[in-house]
Amino acid sequence: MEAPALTYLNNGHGAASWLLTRDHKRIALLYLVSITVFFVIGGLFATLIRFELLTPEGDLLTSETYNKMFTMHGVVMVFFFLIPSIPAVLGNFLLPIMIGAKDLAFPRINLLSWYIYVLGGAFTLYAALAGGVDTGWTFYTPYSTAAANTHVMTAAVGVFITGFSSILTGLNFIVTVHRMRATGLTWFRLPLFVWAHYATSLIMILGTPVVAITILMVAAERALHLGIFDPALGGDPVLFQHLFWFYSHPAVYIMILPAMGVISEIVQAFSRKNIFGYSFIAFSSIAIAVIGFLVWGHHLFVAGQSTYAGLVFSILSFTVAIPSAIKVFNWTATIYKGSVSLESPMLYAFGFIGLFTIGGLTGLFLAAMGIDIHVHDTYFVVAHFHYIMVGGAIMGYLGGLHYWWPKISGRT
Amino acid sequence: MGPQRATKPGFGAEPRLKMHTFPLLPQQASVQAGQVDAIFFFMVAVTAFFSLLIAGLIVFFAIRYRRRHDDEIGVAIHGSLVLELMWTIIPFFIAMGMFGWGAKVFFDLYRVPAGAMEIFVVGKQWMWKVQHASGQREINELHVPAGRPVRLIMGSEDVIHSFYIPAFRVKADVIPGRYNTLWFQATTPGRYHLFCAEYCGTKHSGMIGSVVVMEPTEYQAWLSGGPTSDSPAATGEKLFTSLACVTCHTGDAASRGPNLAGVFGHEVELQGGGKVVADEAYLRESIVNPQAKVVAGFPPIMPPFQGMVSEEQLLQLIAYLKSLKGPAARPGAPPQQK
Repeated sequence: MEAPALTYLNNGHGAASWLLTRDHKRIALLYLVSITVFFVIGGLFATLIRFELLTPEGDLLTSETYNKMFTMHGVVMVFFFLIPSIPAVLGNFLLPIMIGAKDLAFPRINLLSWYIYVLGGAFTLYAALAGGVDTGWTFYTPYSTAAANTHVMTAAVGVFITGFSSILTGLNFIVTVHRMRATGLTWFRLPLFVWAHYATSLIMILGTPVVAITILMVAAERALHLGIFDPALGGDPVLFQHLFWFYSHPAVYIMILPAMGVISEIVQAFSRKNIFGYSFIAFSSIAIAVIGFLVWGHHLFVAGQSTYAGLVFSILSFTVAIPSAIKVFNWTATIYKGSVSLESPMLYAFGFIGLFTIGGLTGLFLAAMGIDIHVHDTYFVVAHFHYIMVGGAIMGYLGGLHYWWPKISGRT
Repeated sequence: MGPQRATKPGFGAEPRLKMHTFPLLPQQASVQAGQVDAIFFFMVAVTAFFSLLIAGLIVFFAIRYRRRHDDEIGVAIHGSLVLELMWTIIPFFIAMGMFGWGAKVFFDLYRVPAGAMEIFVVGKQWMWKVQHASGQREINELHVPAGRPVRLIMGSEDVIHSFYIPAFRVKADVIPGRYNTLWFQATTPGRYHLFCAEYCGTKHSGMIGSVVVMEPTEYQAWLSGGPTSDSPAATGEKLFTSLACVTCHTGDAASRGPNLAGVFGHEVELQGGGKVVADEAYLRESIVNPQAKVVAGFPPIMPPFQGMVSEEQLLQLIAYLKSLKGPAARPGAPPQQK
């Protein structure tokens, strides 16, 4: 097929044509470049952590530096790579194309979201270069408010700012899907990639404001000693954990749902088949987004939370596993009697299914209260969520990049 | 700790010390450990089954239905309601079974058996301070007798810590401003790891210690050996005088503060209605922030002791209050049932 003479890549040259663009495809590439920078930075922190852990002693890093490394690794990877990765790059690029729209509903807001992201990233990078932050990516109080004397404020401001880029992206996607679908493209004809991004966007606009407020509270507590989280002033440090996980558990689904959308597309394309159980996969995305908001308390089983609250959170955490299981079974069934070609994107998809299955199933251990008491706050949890984040989200991201690279670059 | 140390500074029960194994799970050394491991292995079996099923099917389908010609397409299959229901309902019931079993184990880990001996633990950056009921103190070590339920009452002086004994399968966060408790019953004498499981700052990784499980007779010997100090209750009694608590809480009918004898574990009527059981948390709150819940019939005149007493002193004061048996009938409070 002949490539068209004029494409989004050669339609305008020079820095201004990129930095002031309102084209969703160019904005996707701006995001691609910037999140790749953060992916590398986050990877460097991880590399230092692994080198340090070659021996039990602090041979390479002091305790202080080590604590900063895992904090910065978490902050950068979660807020500046995983959360924006698939939505801001592949979602931005493909969502309008998939629904037959010329662009997203608010192209200027789309560009603004990238600038906000970069500004937030600049604060976080400054915090890293100025000496780092050592609270862990979870910023637990009262350590973050009363004890840590590292650059907590700067890093928190960075996370606070970048949250707005998430909110704007989510808003843009929701409006676009509602208002700009091509004639005849009904909801149940939407590609599953779009369904996954719709569900993700719901979490982005409903959850992110909560973490923004929580971070403001931490900042206010640090600066003004209001006593929100300080027991000496009548506050409660555990309140922070509730607020933080109310966003940050759904945030896990912000990271994994778009990857699931990518896998749904790849599995079909490389089996040369339509998806098995379309509506079950579509609704399971929505179910994950909704139930995902009601499970945060499983992070507090050992924090002295009410036993009965624990029971409710445990049963809901088991329930949220079911939609994920439905997806895995449907992907597997899609391959049945397909015409399966093992090209790179399909290999990533298989990698996703295998690793995500392990990540999802180990989540059941953490939902079971009796076992969670033992494995909570241990490497079991670290391993569990890295299976989801690396084995799931990153496999999906790389698989999607491979799959759509010809579309993005115009080269095969 | 002197000659009472039951084992050399290796970890685990004695026979394990000689073996250089690399165990998959920590040793089981409490009555709870077996329960936790049983559901753990059940879940490993279930999850291994599903992981292998999915992986096996994918590999099999990928080979069996590999593309043989460039123009080959797959068979159009849109779905199957029966299959969808099957792989929704079966996993759901398995998950609910896991939930129920996990909750049962949790409740067993949560419910303290009657007659458990109490030990106070205070976490601070970056050490564990322990005081036994008899007054013995230790740092980063916890000596306990085998075969007896032990309840730890834990507070923190600064940030959140988490008290974790892997061999016992128990863990609880230690949170400033409140008491969390955990209980265990050790089964096998030996030395076991004690970790802080909640990141608490620079030397968090060094906030480690050991739990030494001894035969009950050895434990008694250990308690009476070593440097002696007053029991927490006795220290608390001295504090009760030196902090001038005693001037108002005289125990007389005319006293300005409620009579505290026998108050622990009983219901207290509050100003403005409502009742509260005087447990450790309530006593603590009433010392650091007395205006929060004032006993009915008394003026809110007690000054807050926030910042004036350390976490350890608070625990000692509470130990003293718990030791006061006395008449439960207090002015302003209804006669107690017991």
